[in-house]
Amino acid sequence: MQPFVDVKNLRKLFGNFTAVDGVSFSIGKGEIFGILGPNGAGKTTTISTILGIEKQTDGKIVVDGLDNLKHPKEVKQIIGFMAQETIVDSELTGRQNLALGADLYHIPKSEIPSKVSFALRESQLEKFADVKASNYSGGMKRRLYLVKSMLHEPKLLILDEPTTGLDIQNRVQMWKDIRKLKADGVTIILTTQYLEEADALCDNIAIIDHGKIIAQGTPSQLKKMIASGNVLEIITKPENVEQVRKMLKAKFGLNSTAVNDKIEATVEKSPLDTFQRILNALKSSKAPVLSVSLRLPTLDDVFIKLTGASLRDAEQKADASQSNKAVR
Amino acid sequence: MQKGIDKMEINAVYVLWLRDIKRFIRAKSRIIGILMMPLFFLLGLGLGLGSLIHLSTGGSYLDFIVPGIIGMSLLFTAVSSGTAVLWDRQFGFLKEILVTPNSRISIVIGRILGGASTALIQSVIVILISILIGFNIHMSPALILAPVFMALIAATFIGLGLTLGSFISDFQGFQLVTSFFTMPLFFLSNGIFPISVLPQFVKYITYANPLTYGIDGLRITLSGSGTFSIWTDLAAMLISTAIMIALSAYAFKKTDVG
Ligand SMILES: Nc1ncnc2c1ncn2[C@@H]1O[C@H](COP(=O)(O)OP(=O)(O)O)[C@@H](O)[C@H]1O
Ligand SMILES: [Mg+2]
Repeated sequence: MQPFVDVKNLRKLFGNFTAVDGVSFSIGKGEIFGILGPNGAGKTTTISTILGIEKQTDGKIVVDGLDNLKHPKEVKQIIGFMAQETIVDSELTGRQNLALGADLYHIPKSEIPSKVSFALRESQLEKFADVKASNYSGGMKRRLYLVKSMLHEPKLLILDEPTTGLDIQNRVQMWKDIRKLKADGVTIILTTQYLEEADALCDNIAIIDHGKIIAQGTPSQLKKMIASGNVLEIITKPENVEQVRKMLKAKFGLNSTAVNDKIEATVEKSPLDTFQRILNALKSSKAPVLSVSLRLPTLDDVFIKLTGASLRDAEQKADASQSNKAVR
Repeated sequence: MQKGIDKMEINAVYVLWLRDIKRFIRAKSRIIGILMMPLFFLLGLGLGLGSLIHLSTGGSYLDFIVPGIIGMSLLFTAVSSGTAVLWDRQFGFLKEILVTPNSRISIVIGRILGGASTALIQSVIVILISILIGFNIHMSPALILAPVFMALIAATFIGLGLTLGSFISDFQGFQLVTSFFTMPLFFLSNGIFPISVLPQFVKYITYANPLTYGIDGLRITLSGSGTFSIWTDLAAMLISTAIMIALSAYAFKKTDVG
């Protein structure tokens, strides 16, 4: 079957900086496709080219059989978009915002009132329909924005970090909404920095870093890339890290990585038995051990294996730089 | 197919124009703010200073300066509505429009028409108030060209605002740059003084300033006398409008929406 979205060798340069560097993926109809990567990886740029906000420097994008450069308007008409920041005109009421959105997608005038009322019901904003959006809470604006991007019944919905910055309650609601849209048959592309989100929602995931896809597959395929084994995690004092790593190598032949006081290694064979022997070895080595655990690999382990850095660290750095921005 | 798309573009222009008007009507404080400056000029210069001034060209100073003040308020409103692109970009609204099936050029045109309409409404209010305080509006067939001049002044300077707004991304620097353009544009025009009293080198600057021809056109059509011929004024304004709109469409095409 022909894929619903087909992206081939997509490249985007800003000046001579390469933001997206030869990205290819295809998405089946009705799938949720996740683009997972740290801040600055090129997620927004990738979807911006699909949306026609930015023109690709190179490469081919086909959506529902239509080439985005040859049929820009037709492609835009079948895509709905929700940006990372909530874009709602706060000078206008909820209803006016929706009507404006409907107009810009050229929905016939006679259909607009019923579509707008439906959207207001769907987002539970009926009571606030004629209140200026500047009086809405963050969660309300986000809900308004989501139904606005679905007004013209797009076949493909693109969500840029839909839950970044939302509290747990709103995040859970957003996940529910996204699953419901999938159940209605909408194909969805979402970008995220959150492993749990990609794992929980997506049928297929592309992990992207520095503008390149470094791994692609279903969540379980990706986790299997980490070999079949389990992940051993030891937390010790920073000064004992080297000692423990040497011991793991010498006695068990394990190659480990270390971030601050945390050591990680993949245990491939008979994990429980090996785990037992490692515990004993740690005991007799007298290194101060704060915690030892053995777990199934996560997407973060995949990311570490491929890039040597943790996605979580990248995430924290990004969060820190973002909060700096907000303060300034 | 081609026809259908053209109709869609017209619809988009209309929708964006309507948005500007709705926002203008809603923001009552903005309307008052926008009228304050011309009113101060009207009272301070027109009545206060005007009582001391006798123009060598004859006629009252109030009749001379009302078209100048209308030109000024058109200039300021137009530049600031052009720069609203910056706000659109800041709040992501630009991105929001760019993902819809409409071309960038209809976005620019919608903005220009919206800005021009609000600037025209404002000018009409200023004219009505001027008449109340003693402005003698000159009744002649040429009067029908007054709104044309107002629209051309508005379009030229919305184009300037759009161009500036597309290039400058930092908001604070932006207000500085805006006044860096608008102040000299007004004071180095024929808005407050007749060109004939200006020193030679300032004269050359005012000749190069499109606002001079716009205000002169308003003087001919509203007060009945000007420096150039009405056709010179009209031609100059048409040329400057065409140049500024082309420039802004180009700048807007290049603008970064992120
Ligand atoms: N308009 C632009 N001009 C120049 N550089 C840009 C522009 N947009 C994005 N970039 C750069 O491209 C890279 C990828 O950005 P982006 O796609 O926004 O990343 P992500 O969405 O994954 O956080 C970043 O290094 C960013 O600074
Ligand atoms: Mg992004």
